[in-house]
Amino acid sequence: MLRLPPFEYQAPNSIAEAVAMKAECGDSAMFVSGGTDLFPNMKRRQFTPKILIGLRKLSELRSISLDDSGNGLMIGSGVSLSEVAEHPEILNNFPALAKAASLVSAPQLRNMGTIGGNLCLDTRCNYYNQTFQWRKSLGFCLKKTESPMQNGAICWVARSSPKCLAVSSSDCAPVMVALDTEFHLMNSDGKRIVPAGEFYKNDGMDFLNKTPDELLVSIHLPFHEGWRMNYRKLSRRDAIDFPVLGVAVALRLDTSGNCMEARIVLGAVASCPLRAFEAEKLLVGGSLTAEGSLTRIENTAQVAAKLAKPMDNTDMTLGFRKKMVTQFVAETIKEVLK
Amino acid sequence: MGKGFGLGCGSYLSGAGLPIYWNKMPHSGVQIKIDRGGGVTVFCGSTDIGQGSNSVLAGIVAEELGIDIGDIIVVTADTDLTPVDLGSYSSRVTLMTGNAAIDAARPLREKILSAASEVLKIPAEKLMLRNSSVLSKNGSGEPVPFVDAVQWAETKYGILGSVGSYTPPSRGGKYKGGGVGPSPNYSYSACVAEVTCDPESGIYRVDKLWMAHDIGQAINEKLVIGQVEGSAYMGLSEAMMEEQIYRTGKDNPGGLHKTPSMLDYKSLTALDMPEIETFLVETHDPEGPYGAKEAGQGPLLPIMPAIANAIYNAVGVRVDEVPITPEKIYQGLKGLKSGKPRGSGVIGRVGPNKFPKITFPEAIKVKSVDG
Amino acid sequence: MKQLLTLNINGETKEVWTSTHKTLLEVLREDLYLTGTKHGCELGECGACSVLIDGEPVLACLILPVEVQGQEIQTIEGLAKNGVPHPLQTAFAEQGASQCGYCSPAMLMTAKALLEINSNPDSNTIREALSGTLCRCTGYSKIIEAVEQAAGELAVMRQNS
Ligand code: FES
Ligand code: FES
Repeated sequence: MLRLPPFEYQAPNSIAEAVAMKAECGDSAMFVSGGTDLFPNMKRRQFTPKILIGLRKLSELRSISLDDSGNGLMIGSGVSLSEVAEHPEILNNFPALAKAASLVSAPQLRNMGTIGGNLCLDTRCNYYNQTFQWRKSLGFCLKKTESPMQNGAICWVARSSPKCLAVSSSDCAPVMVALDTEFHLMNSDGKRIVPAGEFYKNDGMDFLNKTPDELLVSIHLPFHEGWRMNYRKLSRRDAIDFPVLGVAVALRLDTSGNCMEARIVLGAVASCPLRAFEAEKLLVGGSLTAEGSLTRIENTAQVAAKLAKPMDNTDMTLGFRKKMVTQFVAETIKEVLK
Repeated sequence: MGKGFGLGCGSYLSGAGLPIYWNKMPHSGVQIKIDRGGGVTVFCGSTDIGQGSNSVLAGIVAEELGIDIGDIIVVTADTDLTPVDLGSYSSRVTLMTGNAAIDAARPLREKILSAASEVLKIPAEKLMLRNSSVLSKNGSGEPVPFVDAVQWAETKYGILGSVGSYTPPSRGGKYKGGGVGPSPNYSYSACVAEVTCDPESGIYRVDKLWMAHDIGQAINEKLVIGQVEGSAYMGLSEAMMEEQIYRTGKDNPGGLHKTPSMLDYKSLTALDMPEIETFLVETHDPEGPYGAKEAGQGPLLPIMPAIANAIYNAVGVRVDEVPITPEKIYQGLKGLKSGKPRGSGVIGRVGPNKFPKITFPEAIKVKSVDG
Repeated sequence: MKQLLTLNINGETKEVWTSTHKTLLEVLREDLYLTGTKHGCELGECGACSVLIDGEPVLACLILPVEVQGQEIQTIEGLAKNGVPHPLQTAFAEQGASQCGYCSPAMLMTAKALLEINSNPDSNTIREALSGTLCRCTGYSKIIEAVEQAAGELAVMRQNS
């Protein structure tokens, strides 16, 4: 059986109390909310925190509301993925986010897993997300774990790589980057706001612009008047699987179909979501529905695909995943235009 | 989107003619006890792992004794209590346990009918056991409750019990290898698969499966359909994604399993599994109990070729190995576009490009039994 | 560390003295002997351990019991009432929707949750609702038919009551 390692459980009554607890306990404590990412990792001994600070009961983290100015939504990090997928305001204003959330794993897991958890999802690698025994028999890898006895010096995916190449496997993160979302973090010193685009770092070990004592409290989504958006996911099965490619596209079109602004973000092909700036430029200006725009879309997709550097550490061959980026980007743009 | 249909056929054995541990003793044994209250208990070493062998056992004894299946107590899989059965493998249980059950039940039926015949003064051949009663075949007279007839039989013969066994007929040649594969009887299955495949990426979904299975005789139709559809599931999962891969080579000398979890080792979820339409074909094989044959494994076999053929029909790519993944179809599509035969040597074909090197011994030539 | 937990399971209040780091699945099976809920992967990948918490299907292998005190936990043991099987159980038996039975407690509980929010689901909705639980035996078809049958029976029962 895979059992959790022993720990002490603390249940704060407020966010302030939670971050204070974390400040006091330091590295020996971890936050847990849905538990769907942390608990499997703990059972496999990727993490063995002495103390868990449980956030499940904090209603402050579980609300979806208009922001103070009325120009966007504030989603608490503890809102379940099911609720994100079904909430009418999100479905109306940010359908790509609702779709991404609805494609995470399976219904039971979405009922437990939270949006905050999905956005802070530990990067994944099929050399890393294995049991303690499996990893031990191969030799532990580079990706940092809590226990000093598990620290390997090698990246099994690319043995000469100085950095860990574990994959950002969140469905929602690419959408957040595409929608210029802001992440509200808090620790015992106070609050900090980080744009989604700066929240993620392309390093499998150090993948978040967030210190361990900071808690992702809420996500601010500015309303996107005049935008259309979509998300597509590649995975072998229609349920349970993590994405091996995710594509988020958001376009602002004027009334005559001219593209004014564009966002293309790739998920699961690097250690962080990748925004395809160069490709976006190719879409902006001029109509995307007029004749000849199909070639433009194809070109855009090809440029976007250049960014993707999938490694052989997820399901599906890397060559195929790389090829699929072009097709998925083009198809997602076309779906958005429909 | 490329639409395609594919057909596949397969045949499978209903248990092996030879036991795994070589001896000449029976492969299955059944013991039946009837108490004077009319209660019937069946003992057998066979193991119900969900395939429904307990129901088959009870169903057959019920049929022989003319009583309700719900009135039978079945005791199985406990070697302290039951006679031997070799186990749930090789699609053998219905055929072997079933025949042993008939073998055990018939003498009891004869005893009950002969005792009833004496009391009722009607020749035993004119009586039958049905609806938990003794009835005369021509419908005359009042039915006698089963329990009364059982008591007459116990009075006449003493305690009612019997044993039955089954040993497969000796089949196969007397030459080396001649004992491998012969089975008391063989099932036949056919599958039609409908797929939709994207001609750009090779990503496909299976829209529907039609399964036809020659079961000989369905002893419990619902359970047979369950076995056929379950086999179709496993077959499809294998055709589409299931694969044992080990990490080998200089980078991973340990030979560790590459997909050692239920997340990494993919099998179909309810969303990936298509609708299945199942047809049972009954052909009454003389060796099976009431003509029955296996259903638990045979229907797996036609799935792989059916999917391979459907993909070929949809996009013109021939994948000659399982699993038939989008990655492989994509390789084939690339070949078709470029007109270049890749690895396999044939344009649009993906699969092993040569037969593994094997030094075959000299062939044994055998004359067919049919001349 | 051990602690006293008060859990509401199938409408009954149960007190259990157990280790904090045991999952709900482990506490149900090992401390309360409610072994109807099955364990498969223990990592959230197979769905075998599904139970309902406040009516929603969740994975007991990834839940700390301390966090669900005061919430309503429903397991397969509570599905039949006074010895009368739930229409879903009857339908599963009639359709042959359970073979080895390992997925059945999870399938039944997730189906129950579905029928409580959607009394007349189409087969795609049922597939979606059950997609988090793997079944190795049935090929899912009979399970889906059983849920459809139970939905029909529940509708008749509602009309008659
Ligand atoms: S045991 Fe909980 S999901 Fe597999
Ligand atoms: S009935 Fe065996 S796993 Fe579903």
